[in-house]
Amino acid sequence: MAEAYVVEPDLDFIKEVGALGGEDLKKCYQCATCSVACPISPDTKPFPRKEMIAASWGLKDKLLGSADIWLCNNCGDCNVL
Amino acid sequence: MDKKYGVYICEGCGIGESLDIEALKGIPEEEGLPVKTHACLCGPQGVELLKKDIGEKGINTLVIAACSRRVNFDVFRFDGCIVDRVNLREQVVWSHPRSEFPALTAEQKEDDDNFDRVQMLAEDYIKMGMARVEKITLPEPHKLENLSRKILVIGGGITGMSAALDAAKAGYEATIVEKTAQLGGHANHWRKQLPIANPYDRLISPIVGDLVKAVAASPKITVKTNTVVARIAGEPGEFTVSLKKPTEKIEFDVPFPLPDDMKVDESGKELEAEKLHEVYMEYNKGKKDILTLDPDGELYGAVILAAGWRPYAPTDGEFAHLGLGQFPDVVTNHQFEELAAKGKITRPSDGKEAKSVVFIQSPGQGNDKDFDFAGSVTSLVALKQAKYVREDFSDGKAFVFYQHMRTPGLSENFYKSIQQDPGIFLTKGEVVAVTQGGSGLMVEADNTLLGEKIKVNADMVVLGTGMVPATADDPVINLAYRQGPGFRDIGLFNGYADSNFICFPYETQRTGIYAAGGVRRSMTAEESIEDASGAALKAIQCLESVNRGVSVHPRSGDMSFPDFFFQRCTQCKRCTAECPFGALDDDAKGTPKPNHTRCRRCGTCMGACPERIIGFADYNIDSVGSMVKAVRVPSEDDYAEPPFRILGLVCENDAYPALDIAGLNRLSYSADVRFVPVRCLGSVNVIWIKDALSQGMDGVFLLGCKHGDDYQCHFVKGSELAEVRMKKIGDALASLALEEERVRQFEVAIDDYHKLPEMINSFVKSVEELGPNPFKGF
Repeated sequence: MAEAYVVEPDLDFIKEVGALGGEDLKKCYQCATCSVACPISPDTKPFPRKEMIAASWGLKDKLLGSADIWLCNNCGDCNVL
Repeated sequence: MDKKYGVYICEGCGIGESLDIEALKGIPEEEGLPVKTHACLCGPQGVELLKKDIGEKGINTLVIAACSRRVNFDVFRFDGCIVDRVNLREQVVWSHPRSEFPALTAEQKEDDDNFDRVQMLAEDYIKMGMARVEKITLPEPHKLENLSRKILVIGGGITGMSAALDAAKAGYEATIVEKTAQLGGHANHWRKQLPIANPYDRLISPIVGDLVKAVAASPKITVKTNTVVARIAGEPGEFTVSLKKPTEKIEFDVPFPLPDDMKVDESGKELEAEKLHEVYMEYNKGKKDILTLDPDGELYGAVILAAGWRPYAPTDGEFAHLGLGQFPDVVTNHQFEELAAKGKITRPSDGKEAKSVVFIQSPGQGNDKDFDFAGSVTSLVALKQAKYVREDFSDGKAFVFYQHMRTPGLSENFYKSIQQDPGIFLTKGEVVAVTQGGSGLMVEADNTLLGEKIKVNADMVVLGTGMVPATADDPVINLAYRQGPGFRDIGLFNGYADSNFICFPYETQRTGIYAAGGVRRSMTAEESIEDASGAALKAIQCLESVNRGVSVHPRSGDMSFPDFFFQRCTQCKRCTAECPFGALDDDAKGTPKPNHTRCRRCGTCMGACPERIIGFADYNIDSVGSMVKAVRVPSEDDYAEPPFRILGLVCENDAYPALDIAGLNRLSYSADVRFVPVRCLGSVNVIWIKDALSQGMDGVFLLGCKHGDDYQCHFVKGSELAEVRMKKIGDALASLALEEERVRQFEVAIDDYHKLPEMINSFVKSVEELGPNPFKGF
């Protein structure tokens, strides 16, 4: 049984991301359209969906510690849809 | 009434082209009744013709064979005249086009063995109309002696106050009866409330204070606090209300029916009638019976039930997996609101600031149901309370775990604004456990949007429990009715004072009593205010109908009322038990006591009475029986292969309109069926079925609204009772060597008109397969 992840949102981090241009961040309601559109997103680890919720919940460790973000090749499909 | 008959046949809308009008005229002529035809009876010249006959010849009983009774009812309304509408258009000519049912050629007419089904249909309908008008009279309204126009509002919260204010604005006096010491209800204990106006995106101060001021300032509103309703006796327009203090016991408290466990002895056997009565009297000692009127009672015309709700009280051990009962910092949303209204949110256990609060919207444990009696309002309240945490603490965090986040309509704007708050975290998820976590609590959840099991450290946990309607605990309205003090089928609606009348939300099963607000379903303050307006308008409609002696709803404007020939009553009490609206009480001798303004004129009592002593001026056993007997049933004496004859008893609410719509769409079906409209299938008396079969008709079907838990029957029970009665006549049919398949009941809704041809035709076919009625021709 996997150990449960302890959620500890970092409010300052959320505000920082917002100040850096992610002010619409919290509008995300996890519909997963972005992950479905993304050509490199695998079935089991939705990208960039999980990054969005990690950012809006201020889960710094999930974002900074994950290499997934570097997979993006800026095609913009997630944005368009 | 001295009747002078006149029959009028319209030739417009295709009637003249399709039918042999001369032959049709022969029907009334045979009976010596004057008959006229016209190319367009609803047009100005047609109406002129009718008015001339009424004015100059004194014709006062008209049979108008033209379009359906559902159209042009304003055109063919003549004061002091009986008007019967024979439906030659939608139900003869339009639904039996000559392309499907060709007329006889001249050659075919020469052979007497040939017959024209559509012509026979039209001729029968005219005969039936003529038979009906002989047996009916114009209704005389029943007026109350002491009509009151005052409205009683039970409940002084936001809903009750809004309803009273609306009634006052419309010019009616209202009295608010509130059980606590002050007006305002639950809203008095809120920190803030959900938005009630554009842009619907932020919390506002509770508006309840403004409502209390407005009520105090209104000269038309009387307020009685610390008061409850002990008993409501009488009928709409003349309700005699006994009020009292909440803890008092008075002699006009309403008697209660015995609970089931008191009706049996120790071994579980049901008590004898005499013993039952003894136990009943002991149980209700000190209370006056329902027929005794309170001389000090106040008169009211209509009642608005705005008694609201109470917070759900979890039982011992309920939600233990969520820590309720074990940790003082696990509370319900109601308790959290009370804390928040007092000041900054602090933990009940140690008074420390509650900076991390988890809101749980579903109890989990294997399914995604919300807490009982919850609804969209509990989703919205969780969002509201999450915002409180953020208001109190700049580093506060609120987590909402939901299975459903319901924010209907413009409350979506409110949802969006809460979602944007950086410290509020919303996720779908199932909370599996709340345990001790250091100095606080640890909430563990699964199947969350994060894609994994998560744990959250919480200072407090709030459960999104629901709003239990007042009527789930006790009848509240305390009616001195034979059928009991409360609403009868309230279990169908989980205790809410609701009904399946989607189109008429404030209606209840008791005429003159209109429900609004949290007692009707869980709702927000904004929805309650709107509900209150609706109920106030209904109460006013009730007053303005009852004063004219007409039915309120759904047979609005119906002046008839059930008439009883008491000399032949056997006190079987079937009518008093079966009336869906409790309109009939028992008098001291056990004979039914009608209360005409409670009545909705459905005729269920007429259908129930085995002695057939009940009838309405314009709708009674004889009028329908005569229509049935007027149908010509051809036998082998007339034709080598006589057509079958099927009677269709059709309810006026959904079934008859569906038939009309089928005709409007030129959908055709068997021409061997004769339809008789009835007010509700509940009013169908089995004698009509017997009449049909004994005079040789081959089958009978009842066509009406759906019954069951999700009933559509406009009179709640009618369709269901008809089905029960039809099952019972199966035995009687068998004893006559008639197959019970000759009598069936079908359910249809108004938008099922396209299913009717198949329904009707397959029934006709199944009867044809059984063979003709052996009693034909005798």
